Amino acid sequence: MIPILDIVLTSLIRGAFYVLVSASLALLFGIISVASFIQGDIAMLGGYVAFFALTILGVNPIIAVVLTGAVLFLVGALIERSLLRPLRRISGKLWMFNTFVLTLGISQILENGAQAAFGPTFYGVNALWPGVIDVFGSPIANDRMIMLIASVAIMVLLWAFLKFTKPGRAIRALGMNEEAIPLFGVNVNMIYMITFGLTGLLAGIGGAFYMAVYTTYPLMGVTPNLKAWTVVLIGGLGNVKGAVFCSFLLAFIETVATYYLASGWPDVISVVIVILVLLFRPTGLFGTEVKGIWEK
Amino acid sequence: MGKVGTGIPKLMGIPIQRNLLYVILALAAVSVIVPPIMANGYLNTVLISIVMWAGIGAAFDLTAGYIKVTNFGFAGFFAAGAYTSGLLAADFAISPFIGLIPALVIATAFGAFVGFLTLRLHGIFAAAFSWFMATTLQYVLAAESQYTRGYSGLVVPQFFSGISTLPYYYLVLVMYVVELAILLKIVRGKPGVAFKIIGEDETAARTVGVNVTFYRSICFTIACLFAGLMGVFYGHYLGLLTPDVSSLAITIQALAICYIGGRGTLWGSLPGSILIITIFEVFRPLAAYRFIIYGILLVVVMIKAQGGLASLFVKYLKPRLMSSA
Repeated sequence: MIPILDIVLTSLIRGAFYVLVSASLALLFGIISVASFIQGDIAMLGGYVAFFALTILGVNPIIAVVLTGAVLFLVGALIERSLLRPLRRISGKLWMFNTFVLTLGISQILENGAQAAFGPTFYGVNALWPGVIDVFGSPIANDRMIMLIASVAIMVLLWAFLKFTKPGRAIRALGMNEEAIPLFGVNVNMIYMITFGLTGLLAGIGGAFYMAVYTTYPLMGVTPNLKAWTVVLIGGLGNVKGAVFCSFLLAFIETVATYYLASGWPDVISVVIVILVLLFRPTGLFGTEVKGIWEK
Repeated sequence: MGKVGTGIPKLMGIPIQRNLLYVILALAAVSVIVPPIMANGYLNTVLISIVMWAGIGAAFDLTAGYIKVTNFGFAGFFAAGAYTSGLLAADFAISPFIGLIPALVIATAFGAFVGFLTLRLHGIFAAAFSWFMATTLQYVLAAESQYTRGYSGLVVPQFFSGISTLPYYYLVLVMYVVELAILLKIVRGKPGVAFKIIGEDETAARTVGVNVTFYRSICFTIACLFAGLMGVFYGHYLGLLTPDVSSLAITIQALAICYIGGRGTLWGSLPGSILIITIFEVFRPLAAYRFIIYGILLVVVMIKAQGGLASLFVKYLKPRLMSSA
């Protein structure tokens, strides 16, 4: 007897943890061709901000999440303004790869900076909404259910922002044609900054959720980073819809694999899937035309 | 080395400025003579690290700086070499000096395989592909713990039985010099030209008749061979292997040393390695802070001086060496 319901619920909740960080990475690829290595570390910072907001400021969890989003938006925008913009001036067709190496350096700074500032301690909080909820006979912790719903809600908000607001339309336009949009009076530098800030916000909130359910620590970002890359490479670089779908797909595959295979092997499965996708369909399952998909 | 008739001294058949040659010879003499005179165990371990990482950086540089394929799964080939000879030595009591050969064969074969598979991929895709290959190896090494001992660690017999680290220093120095000599010989010849053209523009390379498939594969494979060589040294020097040998941390350090030292030079990894390892040692009491410095260096190199230390050398020191010749 296969516990289908358990598997589905576990995958949904696992996927909810992947979706925000993965979507932020996909957005960076799709809009400004940045191969970011720091989305996981941004999530780690988000975890710390949320932790301190909840414990030191003692605010309501919802306000803590909003605060985390705002702080990490600023962090993201600051990183773009201070480090990526100078790189943009000197990078030609190697832009995407240069951003990869640059963010690799930034990730070392963030991880070891967190280690220096907060020490190797694991920071976590008690259940925010204690208790369990009964979903068709399966008990699910309230917190996890709320994280799932909140993640989905944030993705819907992101979609609405990109679709209907003026800055959102400008961001999408930048993804389509970078040369043309200054002609419409859009400040390209500003849009770069807003996009990077927005992805900081997404990843930061993802980290806050992770901290609320598990813990945060200096190397907390390593796994979300690997998972985000896994998801984005499977779904197609720069395809946000693909990233959302593949977050849950990857979560489902991992849940099933955890159920059937010995410990250690489920991790092998997810990386082997990426290898196969890169070999046979390098544009990803939802293949989209990313700017400079072959070489940039 | 000096060749009568041309008037220009040659090092391994490459014409070289006389003053530069003296600098290189002086450096070589110092590196051979000083460690036994100082007889300082701590200095030895630092020097071993420097030379080993210079070798790792040079192997990384062969693909990153020439065919412009960043092998982000570099640690995988390093681990392939380390684990092959490590397992042979630990389970079958085969001397590391003999185990070296199958280890190099395995690392090379793995390199040829991955190099062949990445032929179609460029830039970030090639990097991601090799990254996930190395990650797969890391997970498999961890999961197959009945053979590899997983994270409890594989205890590997060392190269030398004595307590002195001096033999290790000379061993790694020989390995590094051999590696650098072979790689420089390759890139100064016809293959080097082919590598550089492929790195600049693959389509253009095809147009002028370069066999891109062949040269890209061969470049990737040779780099993996030397990654494996340094892996063997690393395993039998430290005496303990865990699946983390195949982890991103090793690759990132190789990449940082290569980028900070200067891509596309091969020798640039030596100043890169000297700088980074020295910083690590000097700031050892600062624990985590020292890795921040290394992140900052990588960021500065990317934004301010993409040629790394090697470009500074070429810009400021070389003209002086040349002019006084």
